[in-house]
Amino acid sequence: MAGSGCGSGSPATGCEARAVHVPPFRGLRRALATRALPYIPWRKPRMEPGPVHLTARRLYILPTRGGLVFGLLLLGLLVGAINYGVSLAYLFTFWFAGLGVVGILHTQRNLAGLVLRPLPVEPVFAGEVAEFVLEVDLAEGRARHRLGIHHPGGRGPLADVPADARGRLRLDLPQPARGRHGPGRFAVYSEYPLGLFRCWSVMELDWRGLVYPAPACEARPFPAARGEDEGAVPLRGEGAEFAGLRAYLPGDPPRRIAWKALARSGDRLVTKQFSRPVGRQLWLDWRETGVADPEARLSRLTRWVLDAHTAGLAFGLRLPGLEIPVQAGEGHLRRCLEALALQGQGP
Amino acid sequence: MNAALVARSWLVIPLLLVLVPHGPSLPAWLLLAWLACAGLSLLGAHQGRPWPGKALKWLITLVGLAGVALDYGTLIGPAGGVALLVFLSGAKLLEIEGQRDRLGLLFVGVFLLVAHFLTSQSLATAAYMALAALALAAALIASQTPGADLARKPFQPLAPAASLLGQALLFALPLFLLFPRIQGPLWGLPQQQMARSGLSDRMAPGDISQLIQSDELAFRAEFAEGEGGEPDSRALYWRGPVLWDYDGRVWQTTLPVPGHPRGEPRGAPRHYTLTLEPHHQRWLFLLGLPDKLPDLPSHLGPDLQWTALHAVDQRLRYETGAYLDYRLDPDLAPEWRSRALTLPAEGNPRARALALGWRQAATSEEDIVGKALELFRQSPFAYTLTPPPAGAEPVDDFLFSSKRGFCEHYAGAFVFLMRSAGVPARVVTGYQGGEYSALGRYWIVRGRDAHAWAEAWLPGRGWVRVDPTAAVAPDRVERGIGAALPAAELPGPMAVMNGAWLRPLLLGWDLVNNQWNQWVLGYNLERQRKLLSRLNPLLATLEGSLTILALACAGVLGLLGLGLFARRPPRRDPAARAYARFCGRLARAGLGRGAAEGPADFARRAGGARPDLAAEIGRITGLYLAARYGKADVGELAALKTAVARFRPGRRSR
Repeated sequence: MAGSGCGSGSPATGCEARAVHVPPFRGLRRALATRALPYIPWRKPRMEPGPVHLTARRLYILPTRGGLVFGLLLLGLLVGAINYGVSLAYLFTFWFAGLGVVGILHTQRNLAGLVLRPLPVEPVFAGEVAEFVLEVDLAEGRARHRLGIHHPGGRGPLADVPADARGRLRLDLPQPARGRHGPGRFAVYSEYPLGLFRCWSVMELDWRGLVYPAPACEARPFPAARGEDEGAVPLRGEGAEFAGLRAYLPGDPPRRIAWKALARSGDRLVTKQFSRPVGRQLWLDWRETGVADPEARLSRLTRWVLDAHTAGLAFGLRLPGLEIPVQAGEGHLRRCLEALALQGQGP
Repeated sequence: MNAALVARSWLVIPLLLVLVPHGPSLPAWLLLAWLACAGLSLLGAHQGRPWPGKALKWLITLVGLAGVALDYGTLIGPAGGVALLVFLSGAKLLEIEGQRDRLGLLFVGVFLLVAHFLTSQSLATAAYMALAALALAAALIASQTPGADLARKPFQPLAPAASLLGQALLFALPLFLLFPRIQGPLWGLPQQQMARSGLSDRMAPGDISQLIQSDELAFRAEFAEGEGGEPDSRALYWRGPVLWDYDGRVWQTTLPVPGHPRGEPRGAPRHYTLTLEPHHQRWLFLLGLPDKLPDLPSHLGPDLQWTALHAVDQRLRYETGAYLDYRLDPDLAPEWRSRALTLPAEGNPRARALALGWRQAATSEEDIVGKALELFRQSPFAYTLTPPPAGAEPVDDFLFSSKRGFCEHYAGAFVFLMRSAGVPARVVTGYQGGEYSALGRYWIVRGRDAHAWAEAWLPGRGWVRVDPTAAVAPDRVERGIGAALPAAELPGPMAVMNGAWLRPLLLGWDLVNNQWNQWVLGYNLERQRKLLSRLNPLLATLEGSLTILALACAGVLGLLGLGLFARRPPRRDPAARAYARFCGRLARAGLGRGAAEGPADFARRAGGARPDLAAEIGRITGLYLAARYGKADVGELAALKTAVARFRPGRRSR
């Protein structure tokens, strides 16, 4: 997570100017995709907290497009059987029709009785893809096949659940904005065994993951320490002590690159790191980001928080209405990032 | 194995299975093209190569369409349509991109499977097609199975497909029995050119002897019970075309014979059910004088020739009764009399002279008939399938030089002699006798039972059947053709039929086929009504059958649903069972375990409440926790079981 700062090749950070491809009829497509989660209007899916038990009451089933074609085919065969008076054509047409009907039962049976448990979502940075995972627990021991999540934003891969075991359904959703985001309304579906019918259940879970602000692209020096020591702290000089080397990250200022080390190793860029002398505290402050736009400020602060953490510095974070005291460590980093993600959005 | 190849095989092989029965009726180029496409498709899947370019695909499609159109002259209708679909399914195999393509191809397979029943509906075809249906259903499942799983277990979809089809049969049977049958075509059937079989409306020398070599089934007949047992095979003259006119070589009926029969029955009628195989002609067969004709669009002429208005293109079942003893046309109208005496102006002078001699010497018509039969009986006439070819004077040649012939020679010569002698006569063709299947209690009449005989009109007696063949080869009528012919002349299948050990087998097989024909293939509106009215007369209406159909389907659905969704009680762990027993004993002793109380907590509480039992409770709980959650160890489980069995808390005595 900490390594997912900008420039690490992830296209999600927004550092590269991305050509946004807008498919034609996007609105229509979205409407169709949303319509693919139909439910009875007077039984709207409610927000549910915990595990969902897929009872027959909440399962819908309708033919797929293939199923409709199959129905038309059978109708045609029946008309042919009547017209030519062919008894075996009746028999086999009815047999295939029976296959379709039995397929309905089996498709429904493939979903019925499942218990779906939403797993905690790993936090991501805005612009990255969040992974929502449902754990599938079998109330009964039968194996289940080809289960998937259908979401207006895309479908997850299909997964099997072996008998007496647990399976996982995954849904990857790109997260454009910071905050606490969930998948919203989605459906768990299956077309097994014949692909002629689709059975699904629409649900909306209280299931959200943190999305941190996207870190700013450009590395900038930390703001000058304030409070007990006034004045800017130079990056290199008597104020800072050399603390070691770390691998170069794009955006590191050239003057901090250890050129001698490069000459020694030959191909690898290394960045010199400096630690502040004890007693000088690093405060990352909302007011000192040098940009005006609130989201840009948050981006900048995120970048600083990550850089400071990477550099092993202790730092404090000041946001409007919130101050996190100077500290270091993984837990502190998470706390700061969470504060940045939720800044101005309530708890 | 290569996952893509396995997935592709799950399309190619089921389609191939469906196509094989269509093979004989398809042109060779089409089959080769299909196989080439299938091979290329499998190769492409094996090598993971891209499909041929768009232009090439269009080219293949257009060439195929043109080929089918040129070959069949059409792209629709049963024959052309099937050929087109076969070709398109092959071409589609070259560009399978997704689930939709796969489903589409399998649907084409389903269509071709059912379409084949237009060609053949035999039991063997049905059994084969059931296998093909299994392959198609398994292919549907395979198309839903991830490639990696398929590659690991290529035959995995077969088992669920078989189970699904088995359950589907539960639906298919009530639907088949109860779905309202609609009689007759919904739209005009295309005129199909079908090879006619069986008797024809003309009899030239050699016609019947060809028919006789075929083992093809003509019809089956079942006599009603309780009318005096099975009739004598000698009395079974199944009437077909009656031939009035002779042109010197060919007997036929050139002009229609209008009117209705005028017959006087004697005795009681025999009732029978006849199931006629489609012969694509209009003849219907009957015995003797019918008492009541079934409700068929047909016409019964005064000569008892019964013709349907349309060719018999489907198996036809009718019930009727026959007076085997009757008097037909006691007074012969002059125009019929003259027609029954007409002969070509010249030809066959020796036969005419012989007949004239009889006429002058005879006192009655019966006498003349007797003379003719005596001729056949006494001269060295031989009954053979291979007579010498007829010359310019066929009757003279046959009667005076070769003396070798078949029933058409005898019947033709006899009628010629009668007409020359002034006795009205005509040729009747049909079938004689048949094979009786004691197993199924019905008669099997085949091509080899084809026969020709004569009818002569005698004053006061009307038309009387005379079978000159019986005079030459009595075995023909008494024991069938196999006994009458020299052994060397027996056609292949008949020689086998005479093998005694095979007979019961063949008759059994015929019985199975007959039941299949009667109950599966011949299941029509009439049979459905009959079956339903036997259950309850109310059901024999459209509403009734629809109601019971809905009920039956709902019942099957409910039963299946119960079977599929029934919650099987979860099998509990043996350790959990033992622990539950232990808890039950404690509960009876007044120490119930709370719903949310863990075993360890419960043991602590129970031990506190019953210090006398604390040690034992602690031990059992420890064993339980070890057996249930620890490493699997049989010893702990066994110790737990014995400990629980010995555990008798009893109420604490105060």
